[in-house]
Amino acid sequence: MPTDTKRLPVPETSICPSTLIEDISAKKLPLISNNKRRDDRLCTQLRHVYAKLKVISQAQGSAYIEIGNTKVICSVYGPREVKKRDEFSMDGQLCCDFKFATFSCPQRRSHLSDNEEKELSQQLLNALSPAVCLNKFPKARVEIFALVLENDGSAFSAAINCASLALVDASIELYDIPVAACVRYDGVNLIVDPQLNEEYSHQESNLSEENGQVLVAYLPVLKQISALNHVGCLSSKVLNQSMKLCIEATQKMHTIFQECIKEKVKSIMD
Amino acid sequence: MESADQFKAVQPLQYYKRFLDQNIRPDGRRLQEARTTTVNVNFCTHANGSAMVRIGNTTVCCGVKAEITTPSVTQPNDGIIVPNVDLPPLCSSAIQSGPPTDYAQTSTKLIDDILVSSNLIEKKDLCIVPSKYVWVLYCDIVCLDLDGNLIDASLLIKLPVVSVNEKTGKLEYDHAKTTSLTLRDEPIATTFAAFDSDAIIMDPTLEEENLCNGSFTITLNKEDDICSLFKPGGTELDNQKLQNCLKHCKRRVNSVRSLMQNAVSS
Repeated sequence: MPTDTKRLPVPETSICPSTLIEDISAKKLPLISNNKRRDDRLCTQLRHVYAKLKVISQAQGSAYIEIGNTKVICSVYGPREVKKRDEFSMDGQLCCDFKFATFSCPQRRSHLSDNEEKELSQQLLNALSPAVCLNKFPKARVEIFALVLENDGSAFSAAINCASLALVDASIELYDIPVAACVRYDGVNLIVDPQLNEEYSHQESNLSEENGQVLVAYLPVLKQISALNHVGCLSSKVLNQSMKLCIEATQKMHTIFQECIKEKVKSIMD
Repeated sequence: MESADQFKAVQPLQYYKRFLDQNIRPDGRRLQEARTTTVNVNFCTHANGSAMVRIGNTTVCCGVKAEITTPSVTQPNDGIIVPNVDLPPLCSSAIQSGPPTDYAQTSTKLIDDILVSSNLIEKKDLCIVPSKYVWVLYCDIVCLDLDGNLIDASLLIKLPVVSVNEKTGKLEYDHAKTTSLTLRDEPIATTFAAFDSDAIIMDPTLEEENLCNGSFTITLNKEDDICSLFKPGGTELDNQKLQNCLKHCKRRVNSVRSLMQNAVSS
């Protein structure tokens, strides 16, 4: 068993008390009743979005985003010179790191990146890189760090949004601002921007049923999709529908972000 | 104006000393004046307790998670508290991703020492069934914006956090009864930085921390007694100066205490 010598010793095992309390009532509750979701939203309704640029004084660019209770902070450093590099390339390099804070989820997370975080870091990179003008900073690297402070569903799409706002704040040249949104399908209904108790999970799903979740990162001005992530099992018809819903949601978010950026530009001009 | 910037870039220490001789700092503060401090509690619903503290630009947030574990054989009645200070690469350009830096490690150790010496949480209070189940409190402190004076901010956090974070429940039967944990103390830290021209300043920024030749942190408890004094090397200090700092420290602690009470009660 690997031990972390750089941190104070922790007990080998510990149990989260919430796992002991069987929360049957919440899980058995239908996603939709009387056309309303568990938190009284309509199927296509987004949660409240709050975004702020320039929150970290030390970073070139940074952003903070709150979608409902989901809170993500992101900072961008660079372009910085790359000292060691295997291959010469005239294109710049993007480097993404996605992390959940240890206290952000119902289950405590480890300080070290787990497989899920590593995979999501890679996905974040894939979603952002089509939008960044990499040819503008040859031989250099831009580093993007996203940290989830609280995960109440759709944390990854919030991280993509936060990262693209931070890139804007850092004045990195972009072709477009990638905006992401998430849609969950439970076999009957399509719901936009799922919160934590509405999200798809492998444990709960029944493989015989159609059930899944789709995430789309969209470039609203170019009208292109930069990333599409899909888990679960969906028919192509439902997939099409959910992609359409995702794109509608990203367009709503895009107007919010535009306001946010406009405000920042105004404050610089004054 | 331009020449002032150039002077600062070429000889930052001289630049600072000119200001300090006039009893003022480049950001307009007096020598013994702290930056604006804000305290915000319970921002995270998944943590048993959480707080976010800003001192000027320095932002630190802390989440406490309580879990159940078996106690050590030597101390069967004692709960476990594991603090950790995390300086992610997110917070400063000087930090690379990888294992925790030395600074993060010393900060963690200092906070652990203060927790023990101030007796903030009585470990016996964390016992559920002796030698079988005790609570372990993971206090994870994440720095979001590193602009000097990390320790002060980190310590501030502890308090509001732990006041709301205990849940009683045994392993077999699960009561969801929530009781808040009694805090035995309120340690509050103040950091000073010393420049060799006899100027000692309170609450240094990152820039000031890098320029000064010695900093030290005083932590006072509820009765205004010193529960920790941390001075890792640096310039020498005589008793007179230290007493002087202690006086300023008490003033600062009082204002911080009222800030925290406001935050917790609101």
